[in-house]
Amino acid sequence: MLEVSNLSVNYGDKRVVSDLSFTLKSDEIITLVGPTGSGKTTILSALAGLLSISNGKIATPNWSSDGDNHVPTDKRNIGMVFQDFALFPHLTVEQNIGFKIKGNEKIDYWLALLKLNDVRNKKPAELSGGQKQRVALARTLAHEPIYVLLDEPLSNLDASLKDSLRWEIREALKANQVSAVWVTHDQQEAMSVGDRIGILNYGKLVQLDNPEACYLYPIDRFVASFIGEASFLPTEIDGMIAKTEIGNVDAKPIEHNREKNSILIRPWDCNLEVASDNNAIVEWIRYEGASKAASILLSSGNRVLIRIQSSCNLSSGDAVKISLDETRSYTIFSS
Amino acid sequence: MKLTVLAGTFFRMQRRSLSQLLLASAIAPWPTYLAGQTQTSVSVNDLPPLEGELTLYLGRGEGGLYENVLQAITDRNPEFDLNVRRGPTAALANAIIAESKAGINRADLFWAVDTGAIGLIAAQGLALNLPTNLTNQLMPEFRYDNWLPISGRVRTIPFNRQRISGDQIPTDIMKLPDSNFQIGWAPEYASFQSFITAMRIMEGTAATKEWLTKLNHNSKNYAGELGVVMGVERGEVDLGFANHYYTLRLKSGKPEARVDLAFTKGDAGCLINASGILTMKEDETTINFMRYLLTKEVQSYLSTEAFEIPLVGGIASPEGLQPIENLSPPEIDLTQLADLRPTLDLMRELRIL
Amino acid sequence: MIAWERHDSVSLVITALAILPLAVLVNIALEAEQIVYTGHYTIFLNTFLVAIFTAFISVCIGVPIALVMTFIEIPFRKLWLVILLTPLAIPSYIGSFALYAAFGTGGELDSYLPFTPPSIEGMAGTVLVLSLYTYPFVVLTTRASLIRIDQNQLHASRTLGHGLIISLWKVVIPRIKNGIAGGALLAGLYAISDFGTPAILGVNTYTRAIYVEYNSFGLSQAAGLSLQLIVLVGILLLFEAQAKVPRTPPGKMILIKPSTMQKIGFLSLTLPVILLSIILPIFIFSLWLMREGIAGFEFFNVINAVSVSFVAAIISVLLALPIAFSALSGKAGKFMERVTYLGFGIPGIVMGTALVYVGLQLPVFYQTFTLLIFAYVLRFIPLGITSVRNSLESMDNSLASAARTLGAGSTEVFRRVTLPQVSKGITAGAALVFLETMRELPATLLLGPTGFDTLATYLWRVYEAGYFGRAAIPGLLLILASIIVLLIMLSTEDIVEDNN
Repeated sequence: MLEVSNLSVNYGDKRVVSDLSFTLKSDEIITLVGPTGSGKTTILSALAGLLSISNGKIATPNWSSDGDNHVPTDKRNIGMVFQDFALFPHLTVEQNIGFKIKGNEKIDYWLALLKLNDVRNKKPAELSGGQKQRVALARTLAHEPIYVLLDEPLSNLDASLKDSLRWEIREALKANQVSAVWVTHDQQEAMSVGDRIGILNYGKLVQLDNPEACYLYPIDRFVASFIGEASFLPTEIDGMIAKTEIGNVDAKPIEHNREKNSILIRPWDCNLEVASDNNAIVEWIRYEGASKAASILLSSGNRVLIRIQSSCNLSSGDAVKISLDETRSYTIFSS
Repeated sequence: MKLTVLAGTFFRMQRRSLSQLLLASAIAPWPTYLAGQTQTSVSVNDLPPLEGELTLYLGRGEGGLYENVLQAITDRNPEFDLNVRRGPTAALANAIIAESKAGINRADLFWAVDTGAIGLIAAQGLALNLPTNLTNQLMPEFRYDNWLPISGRVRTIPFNRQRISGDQIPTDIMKLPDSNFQIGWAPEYASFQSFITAMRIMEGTAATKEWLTKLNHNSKNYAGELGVVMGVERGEVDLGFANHYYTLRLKSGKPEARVDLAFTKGDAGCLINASGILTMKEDETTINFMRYLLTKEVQSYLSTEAFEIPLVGGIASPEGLQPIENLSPPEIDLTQLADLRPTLDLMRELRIL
Repeated sequence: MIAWERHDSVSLVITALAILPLAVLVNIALEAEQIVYTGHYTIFLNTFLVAIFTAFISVCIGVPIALVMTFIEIPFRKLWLVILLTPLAIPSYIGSFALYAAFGTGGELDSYLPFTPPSIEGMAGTVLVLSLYTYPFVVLTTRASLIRIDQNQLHASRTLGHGLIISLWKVVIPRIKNGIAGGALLAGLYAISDFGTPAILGVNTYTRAIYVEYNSFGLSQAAGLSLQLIVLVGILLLFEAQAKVPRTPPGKMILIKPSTMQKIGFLSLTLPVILLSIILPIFIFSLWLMREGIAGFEFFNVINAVSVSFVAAIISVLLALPIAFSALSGKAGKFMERVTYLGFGIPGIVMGTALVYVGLQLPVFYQTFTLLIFAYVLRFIPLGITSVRNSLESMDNSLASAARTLGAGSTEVFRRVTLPQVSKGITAGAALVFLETMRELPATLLLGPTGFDTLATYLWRVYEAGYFGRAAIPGLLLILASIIVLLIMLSTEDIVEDNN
């Protein structure tokens, strides 16, 4: 559907995206996350043809664009949903959706699908944030793009809307079999809506894999920390076993044994109990509604961030026994 | 080459500087060829130096050379301060009237290219009477109590000598419509309007109306009378109506120009109009300043450089124009020509304006 | 009900002052024994057509230039912009005379070109020439509203499948209608009140009738005709008021980075305009200068012209601010604003004479710089208002509110929030007034101190005297001085923005 190979983009002398390659399969949603300045928006602009690329190639079944042969945006038949929605303020909802469409059928279909019938004759200024986002999505999809680019589509919305809208968008994309590249700075959003998730750092695609793999088996410590809360404990590798101060677990197969290793621990990886052989104390604990977050200070002086049920009644200073969940294998990083 | 002609005319202006002339004359005797030609024309050498300060409102039409005259006079008189306010003649006339209504006097002198403006100010009783020893320097027909004509221009009929010959043009302007000439005119132009006004005063409104009506069928409009003369020269029309100097200027830049001048006799067609100056301040300096304008140096400068007709006796007419004695202008009080309103109404009624 | 605010009181005073010369005109007109009926509906029609077509062609020239100069990264962009604005400093009669002389059979260009260029005259010629000397109105007002359009708007349209030009047409143009209309209005008003061009190129307009009356000392009649012209001015004002655009928060400015070839292409599109409006007149006059020989020129004319124009520009925009505020805050304000426009549509010489009467009521100021600047401001304040109002219109209201919640007083909000937001509009307004004052003639002649000469009055003197060649150097100086001052003005625009 979309094949990106060795894509690089320069701003003047500065390389902001380097050597990016990936393939977007049909019906697939890839989410891209990364810290500010990692090149997310630049990649979208390059895919949209809003800026020209320095190296590499962007290819679809219908066209292919590279540094020498730039296919202009309007010839790409792609869709883009903007962070600020970019609705045309002088046009009504209906006119926005039907911007370059002949016939009302498609407009009616999308107005109905995204529950916009009541506001079809309103101007963007009269709409709520959620409505604006749905209009923006309807406008994009109604133009039947070969793929859709979403540039932080939810960042301007209320938290309460974000959860529901992200699924509405995903379902609309899936129901209409549209593939998409979705840029976000929200890791949870990235993992929940993406079929695959790509993590960017300094203009490079560090890892592209399904969300679970990225979360549990990140390729390096940057990805591990960026994508979710992470604690690292020193570990000794013995064959396929990783030995730590809070238990021995299966290590994900790694190529080399190294002198000094650490194990990646996610917040739900630990069991906590109050027992006679306590090995740690609760440093602090925070209530978060459905769960509680706690920092556990081990006797070695290392810390582990964990999550526990909110019904669990602990307070800071309590002595506890912490142990690793042994039912899964863990990622080991050198040093 | 429609405008190269025009440009050539004006760009021949590698002119003697009048300043040099006036300054030189203060030291050296005036060239003999000018000396002793007349009793009435005075040399700058005979005039007392000017002192003090005067404000002159200089109404400008096409007469750019007046600047040079003023510059020469101030150069010659270091004790004399001349403040010059320039503007369109009508605008300055309006300002002077407004000032007098408000009881404010800023202008000491008003020099206008147009007798209409002079007449307007005079009619308001703002122009002071002039001493006869000043006005008497002018030829008798140009002596007025309260304003001083400086230089003259005569109405002429420029014609294209390849299309018609001079004999075909009647010497009576009123007979012109009987012959079937293609004519060029500039109805918006003040001198043309003065010409029609003179005709109206001399021949009556009915005759003027008939004259205009007949000619209007065969006429082409131009934006100004320089345009008329150029149109005649290019052969767009047979003949036109224009002040004399446009033709002279054109021919001095382009001697082979196919345009010659015809004159009528004793009617509005050969009206001599004048630029003039009037004073609103009674003192010696203003009068003496006016005397400078009638000196033979200034008068011959205006004649040779601007092709204007000198109005004091004994100064040669501009090159290419017959001497003023040979012309037969109508006898008419030029200040009457300020009565433009009926003329405009008439021209407007006939859709000429 | 919107509360009457302090700026409304200031506006009221300015409006009252703007009515003053109009009242004098009415008074002068009433003295006429008979009202002049030109009797030709053709005069009304011609004037109307000249105004409408000039406005239209100015838009056709000015809007693309504004788009290129705002959105496209080209080297020395500000310099280009400034050069493209300078035709506004050249008196249109100078331009029309030069173009008339250059084109047509026997024209100056005839001998240089392998073919005879078509002559520039009549209605088409008048509209062309007036457009060449009024399009910068459109460039500046359009630019001021363009600057606040979010680039994602353009991107969205392009991702939906429209090319760049169509995207600009469908997405950007509708949002800058008010800016375009403001500039078109100024161009139309200028065309209505211009004396020289229709006369030189032979179109029978109202100004011709007024000119005839004025020159034959029918001041009352000329004033009466000028008041008739106000009907036309009113029609244009109504047209312009139709242009309304929704307010939206600004976003990231559009920036198009074309290839070098495209840049050259875009810039060469502006060449015909520069060629016709600036280079050709200078060339023609230089040609004549060569034949005539170089004559003296007083350098202080330049300083005179630049300093009065600069002062007039600053005062005009300062006074335009309260009116622009009022215009956006209610019907009364809108009415006051419209009234201040009337003066711009009345021929300058008639207006200048009316101001002589006004000035004579305060003899202390008569024929002083104070009165001259006052006259400039009254005549040209609409230029400032148009620009400032357009940029205020596109400003996000919540910004001022936000500043108020942060504890800023109204003056501080104005200085720290509003002013930087409308800085482009203010600069545009000041630039327009500056350029228009540089070429102003009647008020300068009639109201300035005796003996006060500017570049425009000098140009007029040599032109009237027939020393056409001598127009070359002051013409060039007019352009150079304008470029330098405009560059300075435009750089303050950046300083204001950078500080905030």
